[in-house]
Amino acid sequence: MSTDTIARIRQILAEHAGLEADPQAISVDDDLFDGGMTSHASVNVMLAIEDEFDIEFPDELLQRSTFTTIGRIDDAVTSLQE
Amino acid sequence: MDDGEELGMTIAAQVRPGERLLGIGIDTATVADSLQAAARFGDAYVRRVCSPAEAATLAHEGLARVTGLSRLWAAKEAVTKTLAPSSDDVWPWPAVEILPDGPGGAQTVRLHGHPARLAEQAGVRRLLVADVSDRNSASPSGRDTTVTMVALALGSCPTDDETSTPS
Repeated sequence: MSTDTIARIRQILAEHAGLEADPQAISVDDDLFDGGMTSHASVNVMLAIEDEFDIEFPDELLQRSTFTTIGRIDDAVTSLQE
Repeated sequence: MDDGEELGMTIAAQVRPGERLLGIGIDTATVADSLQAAARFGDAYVRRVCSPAEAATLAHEGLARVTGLSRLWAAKEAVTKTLAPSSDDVWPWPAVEILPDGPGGAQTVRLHGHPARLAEQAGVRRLLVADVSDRNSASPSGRDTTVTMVALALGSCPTDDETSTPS
């Protein structure tokens, strides 16, 4: 788990997720949907992550679970960068 | 007639003899959300939400375009709620396709990939969407306007053979 990647994901969440809490203050395992992120906001988060990391999410990763936590997003980003 | 009664009438009018309601979903989208996403992500946003056929039905620009995107989004969400996918179900939004090619320009639902398989497993024979937006929800600028769509998942009524119990 890269600290830099997590920090960049938190910044994207701050801009696009619409969370009730400060993304800097939540755990990597906290459920983002429970924290106020809507499905529509998760699309914005995905697109922002694609821009930030110059990656593209394939269809098989377009699951709600991919975007449920910071940790799951980090896993996806890492796998797509390999 | 209040909004709830009107919604009930809309639903009841859609169910044909021999059909039963398997699921109902409703979703409200705010035009401002689509406006912001389209402004920030442009065509990438449209490609992630819409199939090419859906994108072709959108106005080319302006508020009409983002209102159309909001309507599509709310319809896709409403349909998704009728099918209740799990968190691990693969759900690319263009796979839930809403096209205005029904009688009189009515919207029809076409599912592809995993959403289609999930619907088949659930016994869904027909999916309907209807715009039940509150007519008072339109704002002067259009940005704060909300769009509400309802979706129905319909299956066949069980036959006598299916409902009878062995004696």
